[in-house]
Amino acid sequence: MISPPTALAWSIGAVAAVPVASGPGEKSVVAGLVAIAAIWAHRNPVPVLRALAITAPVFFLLVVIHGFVGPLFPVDAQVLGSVPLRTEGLVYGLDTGLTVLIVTFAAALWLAVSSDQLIDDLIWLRAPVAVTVMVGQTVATLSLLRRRVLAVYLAQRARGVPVRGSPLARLRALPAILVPSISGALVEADHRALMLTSRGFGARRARPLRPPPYSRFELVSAGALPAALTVAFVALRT
Amino acid sequence: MRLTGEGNVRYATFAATCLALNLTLGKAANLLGLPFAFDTVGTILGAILVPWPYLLAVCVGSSLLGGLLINPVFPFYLGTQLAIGLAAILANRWGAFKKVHRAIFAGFLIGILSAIVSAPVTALVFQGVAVPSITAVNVLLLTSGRSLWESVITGALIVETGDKVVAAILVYLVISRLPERLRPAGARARDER
Repeated sequence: MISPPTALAWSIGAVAAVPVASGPGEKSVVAGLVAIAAIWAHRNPVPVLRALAITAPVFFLLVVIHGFVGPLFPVDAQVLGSVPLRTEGLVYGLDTGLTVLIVTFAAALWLAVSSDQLIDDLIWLRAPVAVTVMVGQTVATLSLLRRRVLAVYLAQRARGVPVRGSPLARLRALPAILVPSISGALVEADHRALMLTSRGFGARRARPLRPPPYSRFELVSAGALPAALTVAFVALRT
Repeated sequence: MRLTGEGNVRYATFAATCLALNLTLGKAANLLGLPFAFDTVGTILGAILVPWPYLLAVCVGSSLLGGLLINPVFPFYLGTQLAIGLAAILANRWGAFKKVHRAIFAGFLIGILSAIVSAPVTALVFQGVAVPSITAVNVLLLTSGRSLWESVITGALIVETGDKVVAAILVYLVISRLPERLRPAGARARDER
């Protein structure tokens, strides 16, 4: 886990490095450093591999279409005898794909932040109640909603709603699954809001009891990734 | 606008739910094998249920979190989410979600606006290759000899209008079936007449 200020500094550093890096070579170095930072933050490579898996289809499309198939860039060689190679398109696809990869890794850093600590920090920063509620409720609602959609799907199937067959039949089944899911989510949101306000939440700003417990190591490590990126750029360009 | 108080807790909770809807409804479409993303149903609903500052948070949150949970290109289309939010606010003021034929027309217009706003990002940043569903149409049009901009705009119009019409119909169905205490004031007044 990393603290919210560290995640903020690292993600801003990663995104700021994108326009500074020129070409796929430098962007690969940036992507590698951000990936290492994300693995260190999670103490586990799985979230980074998951981010790679999410980005892989877009990366693949960018490289294959611009580098080989698409007509936007000129053909300047042939590989395997007959496959046209567009070097300029390949470089463009790699460059854009790496940009998307860096942004995804920077977002994955935030999965290593404890949501409880994030809410504590928002309260300590005296953020408006609406902001604190939105952050907390979004985190809580995401997993609830996924389970609800699946539960409604299975329940409607059990009631005989046709969810297989022609595209038209599946399209007609869509309201039977989505309308109960959405309406149920909104009714639950109303109940949760009532529960929060009945406990006095929102009547006035929450008063933090103590400042966030950040160690010196955490405060110093917030600058680690931006520093590493700066050193990498200086090394690459000298 | 004051951001403390009981009303704001309610709006914030609704806004968080709309944000979560944008990020999770695509799963239902996947379960049914349909080519819809439903990543803007929460935005359109939010335009009806919450004030605009909360809707702004829904749009920004959907783009940023969507990049992590749905497709990594989502953060680049923040402008599209904002444009859809604005269009949904205007459509709601016109009463688009009180009748199904108005909802269909509003969805069609929102789809056209979404296609126009997202086209520059798809063309300039990704050269026509972004979200897989639109990419397939773009590449088909590019290989048929059309220019990049023609292909991107045509592909976006085909995909976005269909997606947003279905989204608008869904929003109409949801609003018309909500319990009375949750429905917007305008809908309640209409029912009392």
